Amino acid sequence: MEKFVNILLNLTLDDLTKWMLVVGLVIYSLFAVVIVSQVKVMSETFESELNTWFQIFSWLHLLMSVVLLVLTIVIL
Amino acid sequence: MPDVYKAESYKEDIKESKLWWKEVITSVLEKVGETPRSTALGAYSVRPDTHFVTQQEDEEIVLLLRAHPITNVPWILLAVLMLVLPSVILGGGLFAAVPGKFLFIGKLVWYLMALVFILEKILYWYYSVFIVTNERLVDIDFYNLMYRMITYANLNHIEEPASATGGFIRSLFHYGDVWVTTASEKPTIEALNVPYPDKVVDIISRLAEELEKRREQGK
Repeated sequence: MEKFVNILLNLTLDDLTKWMLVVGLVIYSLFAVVIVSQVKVMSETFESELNTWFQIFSWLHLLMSVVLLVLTIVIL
Repeated sequence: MPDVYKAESYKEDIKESKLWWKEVITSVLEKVGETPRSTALGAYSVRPDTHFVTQQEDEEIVLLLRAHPITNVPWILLAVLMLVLPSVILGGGLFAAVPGKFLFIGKLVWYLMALVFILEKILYWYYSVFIVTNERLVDIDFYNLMYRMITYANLNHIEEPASATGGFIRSLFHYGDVWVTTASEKPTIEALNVPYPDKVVDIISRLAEELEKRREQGK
């Protein structure tokens, strides 16, 4: 408990910003997963040549959000 | 001895009776002066070669409509603003005291959010469609991330459809709203901001009329 309190007390503004960003990006990545499933539901609505492209974009978006999460943890 | 039974013509009759709706669509489109046309990002597709969820075997899409592309201009302007904003703000030196690595990550987060904003807007526009088939009207709307609403109205059960256009932009780009009243629980099915609303109403009326004629003839 004392160790945990020490960690909290030694937190700088940079650390606080970093971990707030990390939490935000974890939530954002979950949102990106929702978008992937949303695009899947939408694609089932009607056949279209663009369905595959939209699905690729949604997966790319998910990939980018995960990469950004990792970058935030590594760089900051 | 004369033939009492001809199997071939019977088969032809069956085939003809099964495909009667194709002729109805062709004749209705001819009367209105429309020919089949469809583009990937088009807002007004006539007899497109596509299928939708819950489409039946003896059903063909006559019109596939979505909001006129010009209705996307406001969010496109907002998206451009979102993409330009970081350069403008950072150029002004507002965040000069913030460490470079935080600025870098901040910029990436901002651009990712701009990207998802654009993606969402395109998806809502592209997949919110109004479909007219030879049997019914299908209104597919996406309200939020996981909420899809599909409304059907059988052409046999619709009242007189109506359209509305008005205003400078709508008149200039030939788009407006179409309302079709039905006898069901949800009294009105609507297609908002679709191109050529008068033509849409004309096609719906003629299709409903043809169906009514066939019903009266007992076919």
